[in-house]
Amino acid sequence: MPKPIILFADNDADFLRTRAEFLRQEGYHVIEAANSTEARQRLGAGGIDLAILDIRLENEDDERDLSGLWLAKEMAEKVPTIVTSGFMEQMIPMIPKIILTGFPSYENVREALAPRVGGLPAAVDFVAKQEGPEALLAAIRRALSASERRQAEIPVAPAAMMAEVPGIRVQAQRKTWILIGAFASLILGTAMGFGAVVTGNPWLLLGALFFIVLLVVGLVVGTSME
Amino acid sequence: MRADPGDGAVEVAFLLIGNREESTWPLALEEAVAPFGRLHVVSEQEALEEAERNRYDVIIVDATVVSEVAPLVARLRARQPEARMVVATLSPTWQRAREAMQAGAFDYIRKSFNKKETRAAIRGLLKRPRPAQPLESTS
Repeated sequence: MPKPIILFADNDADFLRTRAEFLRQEGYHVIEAANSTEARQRLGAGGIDLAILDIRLENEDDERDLSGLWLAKEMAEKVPTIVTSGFMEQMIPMIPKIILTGFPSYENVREALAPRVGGLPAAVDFVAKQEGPEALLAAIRRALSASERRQAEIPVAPAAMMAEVPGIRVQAQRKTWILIGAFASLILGTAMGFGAVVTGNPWLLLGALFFIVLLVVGLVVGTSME
Repeated sequence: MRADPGDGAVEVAFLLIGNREESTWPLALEEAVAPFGRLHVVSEQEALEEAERNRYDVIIVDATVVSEVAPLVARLRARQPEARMVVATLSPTWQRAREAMQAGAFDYIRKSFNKKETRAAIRGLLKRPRPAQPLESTS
């Protein structure tokens, strides 16, 4: 089983290194980010299973610095999307986030855990640095296990049901488009086949064969889909 | 399907789980919510039964009179998943805020006796999206 990939963003270099090492020893692959720009870039590159975001990602001494919390909110606004490209379907999942801080306050808990767009919160958990590494580890385990359950449920759901899952948008009705393509191939293949018989042009015959193959593939794939 | 509260078109049903004998806070809250709808007050003991019996748009749990907030919030949330549930307290702490919100509270606020302040909080609450599903408890 592959190691879960965790993005750990904190501008306190010593703390980041110590905690990241602790998590590596616990079996996680940890990617470190020293500020919000780096964290945003890492998240944009994809492949992250969970993100741990310090609230003050820019300036530890500035109590108005809420950059980690803003990043979590910004990510929460981006709903997970099912992208359809040809015959391939890819789910871009919502990355669970844990907010970490050395300066916990109830206002920040509200910001992190209150439901936002789509009814889901910006973060799944809120951990204070003072609670120690074990509390963070427990939060990671809970978040990853909840995320796995969610992921396992989503791909098997038919598109119509997926559209009702909070925060999920189905971009394309794959099956419909495949069947439309197959129907178009039937018309073009028939027309080219007829042209080949009348004119004896071998290129038209080749074209007709190409569209017949497309038609068969389209029908097989389209009808086998749920 | 119920109309969404907060747009002024429907009367919002508020439930306060608190102390009916206490006059100040329930009264202040009743005045604050008056432009939006009606407030019904029940005790902690009556809360679950009331949540089974009637639907509410907003459930406010007074943390200062409830013995164990998180378990009560979780039970209420299971009964009324669409309600916006708020925990109000005189002395907010981040640990209790986390506990309440992970049990399913929509928000965790400081109790205010100021009508304008409470009304603004209620207005903001009604504008926000409904909760998607109960969050898992961390405890």
